[in-house]
Amino acid sequence: MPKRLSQIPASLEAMQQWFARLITSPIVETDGDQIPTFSPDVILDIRNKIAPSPTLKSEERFGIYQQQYWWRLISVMQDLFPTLVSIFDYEEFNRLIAEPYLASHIPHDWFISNIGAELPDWLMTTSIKNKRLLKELALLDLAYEQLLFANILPPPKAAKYETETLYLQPFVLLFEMTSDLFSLRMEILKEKKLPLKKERRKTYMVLYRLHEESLFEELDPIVFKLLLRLQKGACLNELIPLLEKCEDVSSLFQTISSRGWLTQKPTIDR
Amino acid sequence: MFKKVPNLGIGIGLRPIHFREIFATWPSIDWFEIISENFMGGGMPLRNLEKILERYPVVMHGVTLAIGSAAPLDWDYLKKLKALAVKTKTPWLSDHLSWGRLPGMRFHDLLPLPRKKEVVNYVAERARIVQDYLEIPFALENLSSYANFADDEMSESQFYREIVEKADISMMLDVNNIYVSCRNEGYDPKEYYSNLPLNRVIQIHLAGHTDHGRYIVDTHDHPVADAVWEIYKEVYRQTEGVSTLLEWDDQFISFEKTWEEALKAKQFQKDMIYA
Repeated sequence: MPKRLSQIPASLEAMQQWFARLITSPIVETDGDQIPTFSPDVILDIRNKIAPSPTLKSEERFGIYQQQYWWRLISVMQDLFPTLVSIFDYEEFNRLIAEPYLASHIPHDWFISNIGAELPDWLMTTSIKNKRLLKELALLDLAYEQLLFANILPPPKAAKYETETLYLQPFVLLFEMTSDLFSLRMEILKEKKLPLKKERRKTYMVLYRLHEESLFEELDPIVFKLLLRLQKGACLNELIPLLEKCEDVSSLFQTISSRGWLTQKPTIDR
Repeated sequence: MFKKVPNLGIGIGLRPIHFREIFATWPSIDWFEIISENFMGGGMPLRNLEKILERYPVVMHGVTLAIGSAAPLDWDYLKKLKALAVKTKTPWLSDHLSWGRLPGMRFHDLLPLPRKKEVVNYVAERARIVQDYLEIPFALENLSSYANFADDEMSESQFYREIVEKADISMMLDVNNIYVSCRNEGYDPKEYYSNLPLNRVIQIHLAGHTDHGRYIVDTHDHPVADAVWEIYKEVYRQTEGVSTLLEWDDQFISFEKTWEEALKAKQFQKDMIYA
């Protein structure tokens, strides 16, 4: 377990703070080799710390690190938010969304897929047109990403269905929406633009994994409520009032069971 | 303590794009290397890895340990890393001689360290702790460097050598990185590897790079350059035979072509035997 280490060399810490501050600052301009350029005072600072090479000046050598840092993160953001990329195209997505977001949200997690976690909320702080819809679509993009890393927990034992608490598997996600944004998302990915506004109506959706594919479908409001209860954990006896309102309970449970949506292990905090 | 490990032969860096073809044909590959972080999040990637583990040896290679970072070691990360190491039964585990982390920040890049005596001591101590905790041989990989510091006290190869010897750990030698660093800094690759304790090498990385004329970048998206194969031949001979792995991470070619590129290493090894 953690052992007390010798002190961190002060000069190492100071250098890393300096390096981090510069590479995470947005790229303003680049030269013909696409290496970022810097203002005269920053160039002086870099020349004090970075050695030149036979072919590159100190600031050019440092610029390669800044270029690599931004290119990597922007490319991950493009992969994480394909719907927003389809709406804006790559250049505008980078300029309006990825770059300003990353400038104010330096990654803090070893898991690179988490770098966009705060983007949906951040969108609401911007003056980008249709930001509420964009936020919803960004949340859907993140949900698809989340599903890739969702585990499959052991199924419940049939004999314990009535008395034991059952939970929804982590690969089943529920959404209450003002329209079917999943279908809209599919349309955007296909057409590469934001379609005309759709009719608004309360919509209940489920996104889930089946045979290593991500699938979605609309749910009846009662079924949605039932699944929501299961997400928090419930035994069948507690669900009777809701089950009585369902049109075809046996078919519903056949579907849930064939898709392996239930487990006995808690998947979220109650 | 530094230990010799088995030579697994020729391998390929396992990437998500490969799964479909591997599961369809189960090709005859000696072994795979995985990027540890790609499988530490669980879910589908881990389920795919479990299928691979049934048929192939797998070695773990990480990118976010940040051994030279001024932030404390991340024990939550290390716990997850060790759990995956137990699952994969990786015979050794490697990461980079770099930093990419500060308290509250992760840069997802392999950033260069100042080549100073005090940094050697600091990194060696952390590397030894990591190896003790993981309970398997731990190797550090040399970086592709694009810059070095004005007040460096030693060359890159001397810095690398002093750390692995002081920590008593292994080396994961990337021969393409030797070439990239040497071209970018303006010195001779032979001088670089002649300075290294090659008996500590337990694995070699091969990869392609992008040549921009005035500088080159380690992009893993081209075939291995002839000059890099030359370094490989020299280094491999002096290691007396260690596991060799081809990394290909962008501008992907077919799995078959990737394997063909990796197999060139086998031909070089045969040539050495008959030379």
